[in-house]
Amino acid sequence: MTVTVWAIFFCAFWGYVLFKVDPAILYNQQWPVFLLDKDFFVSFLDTPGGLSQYAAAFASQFLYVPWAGGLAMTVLAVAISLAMQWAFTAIATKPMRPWIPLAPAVWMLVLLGRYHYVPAAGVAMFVSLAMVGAYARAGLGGQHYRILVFMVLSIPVYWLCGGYYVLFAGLCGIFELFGKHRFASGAVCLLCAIGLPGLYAIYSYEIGYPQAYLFWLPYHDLLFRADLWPNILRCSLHLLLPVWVLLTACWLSSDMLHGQIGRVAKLFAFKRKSQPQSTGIATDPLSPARSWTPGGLLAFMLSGTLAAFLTFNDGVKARLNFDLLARQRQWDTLLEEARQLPREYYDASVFRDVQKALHYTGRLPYDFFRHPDSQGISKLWAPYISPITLDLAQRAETFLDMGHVNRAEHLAHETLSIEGPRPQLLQTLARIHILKDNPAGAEVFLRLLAKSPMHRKQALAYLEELRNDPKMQADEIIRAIRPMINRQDILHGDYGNISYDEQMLQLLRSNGQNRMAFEYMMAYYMRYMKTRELIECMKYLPNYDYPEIPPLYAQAIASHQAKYPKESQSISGGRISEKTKQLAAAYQNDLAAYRTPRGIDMWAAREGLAQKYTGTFFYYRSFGSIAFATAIDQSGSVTGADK
Amino acid sequence: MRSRRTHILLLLLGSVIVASTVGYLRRSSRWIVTDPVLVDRTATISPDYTDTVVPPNIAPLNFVIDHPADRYCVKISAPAGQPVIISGREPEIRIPPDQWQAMLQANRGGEFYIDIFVEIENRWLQYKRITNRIANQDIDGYMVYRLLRPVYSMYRMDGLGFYQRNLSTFEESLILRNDSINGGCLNCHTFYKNSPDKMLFHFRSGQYGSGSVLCSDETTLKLDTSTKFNASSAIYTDWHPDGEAIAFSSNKIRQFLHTVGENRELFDFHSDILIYTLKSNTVTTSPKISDPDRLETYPVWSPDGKWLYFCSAPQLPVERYKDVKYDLMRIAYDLETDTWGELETVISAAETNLSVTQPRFSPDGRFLVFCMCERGNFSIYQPSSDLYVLDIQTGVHRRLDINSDQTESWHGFSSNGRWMVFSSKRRDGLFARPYFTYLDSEGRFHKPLVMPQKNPRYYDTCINTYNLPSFVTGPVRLNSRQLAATVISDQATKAKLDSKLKSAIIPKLP
Repeated sequence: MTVTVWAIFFCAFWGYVLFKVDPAILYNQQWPVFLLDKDFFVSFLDTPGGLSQYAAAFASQFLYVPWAGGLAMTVLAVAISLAMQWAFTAIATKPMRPWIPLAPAVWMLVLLGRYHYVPAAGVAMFVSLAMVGAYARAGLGGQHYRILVFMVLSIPVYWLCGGYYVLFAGLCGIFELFGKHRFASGAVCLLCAIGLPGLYAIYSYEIGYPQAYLFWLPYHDLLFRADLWPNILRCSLHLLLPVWVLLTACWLSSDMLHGQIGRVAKLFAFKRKSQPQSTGIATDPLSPARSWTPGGLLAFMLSGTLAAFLTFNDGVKARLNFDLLARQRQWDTLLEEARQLPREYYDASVFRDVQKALHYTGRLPYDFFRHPDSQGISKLWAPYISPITLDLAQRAETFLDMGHVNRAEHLAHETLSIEGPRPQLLQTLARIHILKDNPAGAEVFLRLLAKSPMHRKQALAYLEELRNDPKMQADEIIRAIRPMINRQDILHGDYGNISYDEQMLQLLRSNGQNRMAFEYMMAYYMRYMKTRELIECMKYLPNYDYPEIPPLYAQAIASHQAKYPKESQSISGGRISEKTKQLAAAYQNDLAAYRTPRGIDMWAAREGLAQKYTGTFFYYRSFGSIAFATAIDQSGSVTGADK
Repeated sequence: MRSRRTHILLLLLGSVIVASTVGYLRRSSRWIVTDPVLVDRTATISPDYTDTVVPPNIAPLNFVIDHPADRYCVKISAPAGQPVIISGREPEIRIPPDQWQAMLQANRGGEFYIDIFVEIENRWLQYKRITNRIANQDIDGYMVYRLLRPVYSMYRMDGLGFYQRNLSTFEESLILRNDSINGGCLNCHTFYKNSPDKMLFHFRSGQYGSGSVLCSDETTLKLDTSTKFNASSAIYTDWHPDGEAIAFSSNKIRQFLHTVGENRELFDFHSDILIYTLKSNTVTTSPKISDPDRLETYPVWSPDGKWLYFCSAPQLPVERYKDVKYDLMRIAYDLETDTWGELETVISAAETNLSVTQPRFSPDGRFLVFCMCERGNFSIYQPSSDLYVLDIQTGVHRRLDINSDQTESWHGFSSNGRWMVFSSKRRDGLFARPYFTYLDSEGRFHKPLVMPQKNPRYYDTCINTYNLPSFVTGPVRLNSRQLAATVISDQATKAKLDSKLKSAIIPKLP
């Protein structure tokens, strides 16, 4: 019965991860790095919990292939459940409910569904529970001997599990105190749980207290400062299981909690030879003392399903899926998804990807104002990669696409410094150095990428091609970027920041055909209402194949002309259409309708004009970024696929 | 139960035997070559350990044969002693350390040969013999360097540190990493006459401030050499030959970025040279080496302690960064009487149209090796940076033949003056690697060899850069904890400004 229940449960677990969570999204979110390399392995050895992280990095590689990724997470869940069974049947003094070993797997499903799960924490939990089981089952004799064995075990367990050592020592302490009624050894275990990680932090200088105790918590300073309470709640969710495990262990092994309070005094007896020396092992590991009842099974399955589905975070999934689409350069789908994205997830990163998608689908000069603006940092919980470096990596790729190779190199190297050799980053760096005519430099990154099991084949094939053609003309992305490369040197940095439009102008002066630089610059001018500069930049318009002046540019020009009628600007690229002029006049008329003795009632005008004018420059000019962000005109948007 | 244990033991034993057999068949020291056909060229090996001079106490020069083949066999031999034979199916050649060391020791001052055989479709080919020389003089036993990723402005909490490498083996150990000081920066380590017991390094940390750590034997001292005169503490330093004083530059350095070509550029807004005297804990200087109109940096003492050499350039606005070219200057100084001589220009940037940086003396004082690059003083960021040598006896300088078309910089001599290490980006133009070159008695620098690694493919995928490699005669014994404790300590020894200077100068920096 138990085996059947477990088999059904974990098949469902695998299906949930595969179809509901989507391992491809997890892979893209985590950017997991794992290299088949001795130095890479050694780099994990000098930190407590490093080996758990190494094992987790290995397991996370399977996320690259969705079914295998789902299976890897399932295997981890099975391992934790088995370890829980192994440990609890050893330390419990009363029969255990059959659903208890499966509870960590349900908790794992909840965290996976909220895209918070840290595989290293899972590995560390498995190891600590397994070691508790081994300790409890060792059948050790005298108290001093038990203390000695525990202390000796503490070193490898802390090394393997990092902060999860607290769970190991805590459970050992509970076992000694409540299960074996040995006060001294129990106290030593509990003191070690409290003190040993802290002592290591003091001794080593290499880790702080949060890292010593809480390495499994995906804690990030920046996110805590930006969004305190939601992050505290999220961290609490991670702490829930270890705390629950400790409490359950108390409950299962303590007479005190069974209502026999009088026996508490026994705990304080230093040595109780008359106490029955039960090993506490209730049953065989896979045969819990209490078996499933139909009602219990139904209740467990129902509550597990409800927990997994009710806590699932669709918003985060949509947001992460958005990142995945950007990585896969599926621009049309990305624009579709952008319209469905909950507003609170529409951060600066999304804005940049939408802008890129609009450019690649040819809609940037048409639909720029039809998507919300955002300059906010990502509020996604980022246990795997810092939001700052994620932002740098994204900007590096955009700069590279445009041809600003040095800017891309700078940002990509910053990311490399912080995040290490993430596969996607190595690909970007290889391209950067090929474009900088340094194939030898690119080869270093590609050879390193070839050590990543999931990228080995691709990297070796690319290396082979690179040796035959150091310019890599076969690479479509490189072929597109090479003619656009910036050739103009401007010093920046501590000397002074180089302005955004100057960066775009550099690209245009290097190659007037650089459409991406042109459209990004025009978008920038529109966004910051620099209409005079926009008009100046119209001289590049004839270099591209627009059938007429794109409407947003025309509106910006018309708007400028209306505001500064005395300025005479010669506009390259064509004339402002009658349609635009009529729209400008209509807008002015409609806006005038909201005039009050104290001026225009902006709130009322914004609401009233939204339906007709959202997405136009006129509307944006009147209401600024609020207008940008207010509404997504779903019916009016045209994607590249509709063109 | 006993039977089960026996089965497990037998299974383990069997696994060991199978693994050993497979290992033996894959790589062995058997001679497997039959009737080789001679090929009229040498094999390409990586790293390039051909026609070079090798230290007699260096770790095995493991290499990769860059030719696809079914099997490989390598014979490394020398006139005295037994040859070393390595054969197998893999092109990576890992030389047994004991046999290697025995061969080098038995053939000091002589030659050794590498014969490479490859088997392709059941036919053995023999490439032309590779010949290398073994020097008579040892290289220093250890090398200390900073290991980090190519840094712009951010680095990882554990991404930067000082390491030391035993050059006779492949053993690398940590001296101090920046995660021990909460992510600060560690740089510019200097040793007194290659001694691991006397060391100075600079640290910079948001939490613990900036300053130096002075290590002498088993003791460490957190030192703040900033004074009213110099806002920043010691950056580039050099120990006086008597060990009682340290010349240092106090620099206000800023980083800029280019949008084309090499990305990074460092520029000094201010820099002066000062002398720190250990006994009196005072900082002194002279207007001659801290001229407000000039940038003085990279001080180095002549081995007799009578001259202070340094680099100096006119102070120009940052917009004219391309025109900032440093002269090599020197000034006489008597440490006992604290008296300064007159400034002399040794190499004029106006004549070379290049900028001199990082001068370093050979221990016998005969040669001064320095970098010259297009501009500025931070040559590691400049592909134009090459190594030059000035013969102090003749006053003639020349570009070294050992340069490549990539950056060469951060060089230093071994204690016996026969070996020089330098950082070169010649492999890939991106990551600096430590190269050793032999300086013979006639002042010739021989073809450099990259520091050997146990894994001969190590540099192919290494994304760390080796910064400021320095030879030391033995291991640095101070451990990471002690050094970290010194950095994070609240108690820093504040250097005093020379009382003679206090009244004579106006503080230059806020």
